[in-house]
Amino acid sequence: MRKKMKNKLILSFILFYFLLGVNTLFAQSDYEIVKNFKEKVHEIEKAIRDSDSLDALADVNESINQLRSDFISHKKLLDSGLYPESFDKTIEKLKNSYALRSDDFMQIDVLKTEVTGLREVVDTLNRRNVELTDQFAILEKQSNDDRTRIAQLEQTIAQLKSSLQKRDEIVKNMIDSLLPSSFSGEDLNTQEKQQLLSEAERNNILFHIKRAVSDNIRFLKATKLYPDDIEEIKDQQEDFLRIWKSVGPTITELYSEKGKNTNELKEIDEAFTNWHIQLEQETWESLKQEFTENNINLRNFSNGKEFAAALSSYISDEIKNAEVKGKDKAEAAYKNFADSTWYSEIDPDWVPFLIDNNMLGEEEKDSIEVMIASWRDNVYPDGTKWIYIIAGVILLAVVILLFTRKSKKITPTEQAG
Amino acid sequence: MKLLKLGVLFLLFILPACSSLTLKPADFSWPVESVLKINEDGFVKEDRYSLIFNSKDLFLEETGDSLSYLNKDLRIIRDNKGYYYITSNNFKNVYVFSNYESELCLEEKVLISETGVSKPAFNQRSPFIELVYGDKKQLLSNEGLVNEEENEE
Repeated sequence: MRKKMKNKLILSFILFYFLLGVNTLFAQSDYEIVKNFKEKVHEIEKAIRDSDSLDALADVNESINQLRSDFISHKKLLDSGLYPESFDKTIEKLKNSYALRSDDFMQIDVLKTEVTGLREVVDTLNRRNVELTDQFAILEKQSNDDRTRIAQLEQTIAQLKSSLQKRDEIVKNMIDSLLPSSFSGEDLNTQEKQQLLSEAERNNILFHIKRAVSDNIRFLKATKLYPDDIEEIKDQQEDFLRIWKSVGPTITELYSEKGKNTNELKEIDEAFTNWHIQLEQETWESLKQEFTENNINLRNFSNGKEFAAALSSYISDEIKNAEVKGKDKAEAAYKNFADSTWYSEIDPDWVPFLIDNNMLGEEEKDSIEVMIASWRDNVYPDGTKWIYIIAGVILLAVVILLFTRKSKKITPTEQAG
Repeated sequence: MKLLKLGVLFLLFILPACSSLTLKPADFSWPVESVLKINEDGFVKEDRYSLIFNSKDLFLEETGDSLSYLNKDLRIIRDNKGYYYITSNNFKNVYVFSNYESELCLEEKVLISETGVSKPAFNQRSPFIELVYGDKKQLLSNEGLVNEEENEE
């Protein structure tokens, strides 16, 4: 039965080629020959574009050779009919496209190997990050007043930060490698989309992105930030988000098309939003910590208005309590706030950062400074009055001096007149 | 006096020859026919050879119907002398045109079949044009059908 089927197939094959040969024999129109050739070239070009492996391309190579041998007898006609192309040029172009596509597949194989290597590195770095985070938590508990432990803690933070950055870079490279090298923002074809999806799944990309973002959030929560750190993290966030946005919508679209659960993708989008919110919260937390470290206990704040209000409330309380505290203590509190904290740390380091990032308005900054000035007037009432009196006397002396000089100059002229 | 007359005569013969310049030989042939879609206004456009003309009157001449050009193709080829050969599916004739100052002028209307020719195609067979229809072939020149003997000569 099988043999019969096989014979039937061979017979159909021979009949097909015979008919093909007869058809070519009776193709009397030159136009038809040129048209047939062009159509076959298009078919091969499409096959090159649509091929998904090196094996599939091997068949295409056969087709190119077949096309050449089928039409070589019409070379002269095709040379003129295909102008400005020619028969040889067209075959050469097909061969070049074939070679380029083969190179692409070979490159993809190399990239696949590289990504597998990267996956292993990411796993190692993830393990290392967990160890460092645990170590960091233990050290933080023990670090009170212990200089060596504080130094150890700082070292752990630095190691954790660099390790997280390394892992994030690798994850970003992994996402980048999902896209074809020729990708420049335009739509991917079905083949490329399918490949992107299978590579993303094979390399567990969604898990790694989620992991990277959540680790970064944990790191933010665990450490005190300075404006330079925040700038660096913001850049990193934007870069990560940009890379995710280059593949995220395509993966979401493919998941929806295939009826897959898109929850994981929504979680990633939410994680990015949380990361952003967390960074802003941690910025305010770190700013509050700066005051706390100088024994200034402010009420909680999470935006510029609340920050200005917290300072205003603190200053008002200090002004109110000045008399109860006594002159020396009130002066010390003012100096600690204004000289040691606001003008030495917050105003030069934090305020420009907050204003640049639209977290604090100029009016809010001015209102804080007005409050500080009124606190100063309250703490040094006499000193201020004396300054005004001295300034008034100097101004009066300058006016009198100018008036006297002018009168002296005018008198001889008037006498001459 | 006789010599002067001879001189004038000589100049009369020689001057026209000098006033024009002829470049030859020239070959205007298209290697392959063009199959052109007719637009809704009756125009056809050949991009490779930069040729545009209106085909409405050709269809009116062939079918007597001024709108019969709609949704039709024209097959056109040029021979080495520069004559255009035009026909279309189910046409009875092949039309031979020469070009002259923004016009195509009919030189010959060659009857091929009283019932119309199905799926015609032109091949360049210099110095002639070959018309292929079904399993038949016919050589054409700007003067009309070419006999086999004439072809062999």
